[in-house]
Amino acid sequence: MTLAINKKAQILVLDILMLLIIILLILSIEEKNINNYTLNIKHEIKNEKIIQEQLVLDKLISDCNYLAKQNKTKVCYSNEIELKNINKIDRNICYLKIGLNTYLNTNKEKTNIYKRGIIYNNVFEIIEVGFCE
Amino acid sequence: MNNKGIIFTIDGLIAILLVSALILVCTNTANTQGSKLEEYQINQRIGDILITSQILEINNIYEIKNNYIELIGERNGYIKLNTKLIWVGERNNLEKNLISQKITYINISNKEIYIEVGVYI
Repeated sequence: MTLAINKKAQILVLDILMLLIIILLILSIEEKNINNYTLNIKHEIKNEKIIQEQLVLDKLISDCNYLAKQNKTKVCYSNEIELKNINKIDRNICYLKIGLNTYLNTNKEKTNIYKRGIIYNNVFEIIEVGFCE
Repeated sequence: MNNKGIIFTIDGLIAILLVSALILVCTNTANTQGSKLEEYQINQRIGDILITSQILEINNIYEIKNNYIELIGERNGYIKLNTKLIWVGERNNLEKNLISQKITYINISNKEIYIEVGVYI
């Protein structure tokens, strides 16, 4: 009788131990999962910022209110630029380089610099645009 | 008592499986987002090469190649101008994704020009 009770007690203790181990394991996995999720959200926010900046850059080189060139018949050309509206560009843009010439460079720390292909003075050039906080 | 123990263990194992599946899903989502952004950036640059080639009416494939290298770097890819095709970097078709764009336009001499640019990522 005592032996049977002892055996049952042993099984009960083992069951509880097993359950505790599994709970701890699940908790540690969940913690890792939550950490991954947080990292993903941070990554998403960063990606969203990059996309926003790319859209600003797109507008910069395709909108005649900014850097895109307008011909005599008032047609606006995407990717062909002139610098007459350089003072109107987004305040977050702190660096602008076309080919080898730098037209804007503040002392602020640049977060991202993007490269695009444009036509400036009838020549293919690389425009580099830097964004600051 | 024994049966209850087995049920606890099975429950725990199922929970572990579910959590592992969740981790896998989350990791895959993050990787997909990163590559999509890269694809978007490459797509924009290919578009730049095509539109500038059209505006400047570039009919020299090596000039387009120089623009490609300046803008996209030594990333493997190809340029096709009408029937002529040249490769940038190694000719490697085993790479996973190909991003390509093409345009056709009529130049000042009334000739149809076809340009295609592809980049492997």
